[in-house]
Amino acid sequence: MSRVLKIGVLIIGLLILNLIIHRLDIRFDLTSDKKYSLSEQSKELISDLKDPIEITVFLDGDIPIQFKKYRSFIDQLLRNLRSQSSSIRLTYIDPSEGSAQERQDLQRYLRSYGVYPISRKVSTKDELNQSFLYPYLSVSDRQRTIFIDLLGDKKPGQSEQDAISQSEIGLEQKLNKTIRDLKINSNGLVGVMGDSKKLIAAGLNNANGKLGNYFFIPMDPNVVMINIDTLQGLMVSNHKFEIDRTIQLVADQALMRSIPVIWFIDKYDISIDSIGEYGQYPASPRQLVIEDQLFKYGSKTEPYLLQDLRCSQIPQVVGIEGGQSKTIFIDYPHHPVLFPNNSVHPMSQAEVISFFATSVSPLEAKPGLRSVPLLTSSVRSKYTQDLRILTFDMLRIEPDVASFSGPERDIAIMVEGPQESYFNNRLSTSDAEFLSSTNAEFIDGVDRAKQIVVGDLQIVLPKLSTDGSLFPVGYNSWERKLYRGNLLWIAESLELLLHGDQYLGNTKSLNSARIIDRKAFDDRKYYYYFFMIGLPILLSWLSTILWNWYRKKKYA
Amino acid sequence: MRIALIYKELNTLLSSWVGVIAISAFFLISGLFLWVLPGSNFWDYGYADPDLFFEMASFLLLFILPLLSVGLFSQEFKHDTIETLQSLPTSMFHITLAKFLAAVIFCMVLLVLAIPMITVLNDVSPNVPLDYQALLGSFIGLFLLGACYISFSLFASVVSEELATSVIVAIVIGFLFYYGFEYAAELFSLDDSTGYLIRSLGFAGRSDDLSKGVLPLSTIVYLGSICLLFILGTYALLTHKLKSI
Repeated sequence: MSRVLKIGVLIIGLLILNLIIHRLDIRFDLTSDKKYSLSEQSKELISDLKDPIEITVFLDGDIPIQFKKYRSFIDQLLRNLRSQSSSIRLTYIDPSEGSAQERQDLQRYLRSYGVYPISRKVSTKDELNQSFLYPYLSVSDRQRTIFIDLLGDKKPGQSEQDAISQSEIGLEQKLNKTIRDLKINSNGLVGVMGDSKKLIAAGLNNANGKLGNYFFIPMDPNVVMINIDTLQGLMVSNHKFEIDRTIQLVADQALMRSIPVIWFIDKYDISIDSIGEYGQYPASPRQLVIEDQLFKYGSKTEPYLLQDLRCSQIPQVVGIEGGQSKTIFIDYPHHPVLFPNNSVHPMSQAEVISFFATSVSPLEAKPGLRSVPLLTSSVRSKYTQDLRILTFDMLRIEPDVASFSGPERDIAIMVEGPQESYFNNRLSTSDAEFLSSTNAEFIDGVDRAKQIVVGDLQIVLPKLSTDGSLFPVGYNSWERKLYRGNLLWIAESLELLLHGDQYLGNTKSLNSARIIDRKAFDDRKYYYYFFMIGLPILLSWLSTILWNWYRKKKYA
Repeated sequence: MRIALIYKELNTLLSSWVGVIAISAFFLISGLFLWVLPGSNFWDYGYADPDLFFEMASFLLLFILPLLSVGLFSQEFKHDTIETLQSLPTSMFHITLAKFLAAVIFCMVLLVLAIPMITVLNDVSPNVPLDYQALLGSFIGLFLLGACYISFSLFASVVSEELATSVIVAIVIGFLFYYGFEYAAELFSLDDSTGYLIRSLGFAGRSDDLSKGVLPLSTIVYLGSICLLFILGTYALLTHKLKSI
């Protein structure tokens, strides 16, 4: 065999060997917690994909070094996913690239999904600049795009590094959930009944992302009842004392037909505007008619207003400076910032803004019922039991921190299990007539009903701007800040109700991040410099000198 | 192949002043970038994980290892000792392999000198223990990359008798393998599957895996294949050159 032929055979042999090994996709993840390996659930999910899924990374370009590790982790995870299925396509977009027009178009597109950049100060030798970063991934199929907020789990006071590490742990799970959401492709209809139903439906229909799976329709009770079989879920809102009895009946019958219901209730009808306008506002809880029904289903709302030191801020004029009023932002404990409760079901840890919320608790005496907290206050919270008149006086003095002694309070709970109809043995003639007019049968019980009770309607209610347009759900006009957690929480709560059994509990227990103890480093800085730079250099010179001396001696 | 041949080459490398300067440069540059200069250091990175070192080392070795090993054949040609080598009772292939292995052992010595860094990383984050398994994986990965760079240098050392030319050739080949495929895929805006395939031929993406302690079998086999091809290329070029002398 000629030499050229031998070389050719060898090259082809190596090529084939490489192709075979590449296809086998065997990897040795030597990390002790296997953090760079995909879980079995992910592999199963990805290998089942038939339609192409495009994952786009917006954390690209000149990213700060603090994000480098996270970005590298994302790359690794996405490469792993890509190696599992050719249906996965990866795209990287640097939002700072392109012409001014292209950048603006991209920003507009991202804003339409509620995606806003985080700003970072970058100090160079001569100047301080501001750069913008989009820590987001988007996952798209042919019809929809869902965004994943990579830092969505950051808690107030938590360092960025801790938040990044935390986010690393949950990223694979978030991706799984998102891909699964796309696969489910439910396009479900969710009816909205009760007070402010049109506003609520408009706010939710304006939202993209995960809520894009659903279409929210403001409905009158008779329309709900007629179309009950086409609905995937129902939302009922109530902040007035009275509620149309047919709303109660329809919600009850939806539950009896195993259609999940989310109840949003406001025990206090307060707004900051009222306090600002009148200087004070009588804050007394109302016993809502609907509460009796919820009590029957196994939950009760507390009569007290929640105050929490983890809260948003409101502007207050504190004086005149240079002829202009001086405004500062002050923490307002009546506007608690809540977090999804992760103890039973994995949920994104994004801040949820609430206004004058009350807590909800399960009734322990109800047999067979299971309740799960879904949204909680911080441990630095308290009830305002003796509050009758609400003023801004509380802002003039420092809050008594010791009185905010907790514990965490649940603002939303999920209750699931067997239910008996609230209207059992109390179905009036008009109720029966209503049902017959909608051709619906009365059902008196169900083996498994699922519902969520939320102690603040404002969580889902979008605010109106002065020009009559709607702010996104979760927008706090006082801080001019969007709390993305509100929509995310609503979307995940709906998922939990509708597809809770498929929830993937594949959170890995990863080793904690090895964050540098800066003080320890600073204390021994020069010792470390010597150890890492000086010592290897010294050793290499010393060994070469000794080796040459030994050679000279030996061969002299 | 005789052990004596490897020992002889290792002896030359260990006593070389170029070698010690290259090692010093490696630790000085990596130390400055990783611990002192702002923007890329562990301080800004925030984590006491060695992957930052391994990422930097996999790039720096691209320049350092050619400095150490391009003299393996070019010096033999320059000082006319190649004929002495030819007269040895062993094949030219074994000599090529011995030179390669000696340089690989020298590369291991260089990596061993990085161990003090591990102690420091443990010291500055005492609460969470270092993942030694991942660390071992990262060292193996860096060693494999180093072996590839050495095979490029070995090949370059036969291409030219001039040390400077050989160094440049070795660095260019290394650079092409490190970034070339990545750039090519980007330059020609290749579609996803072709682009993915082209990118996978480069070292940049692979070194990312290796620096974290993840060893894909495909990368091990790929790097091994590249080493083998360049060693055989060196041998083929060497015999061709010797014939023409």
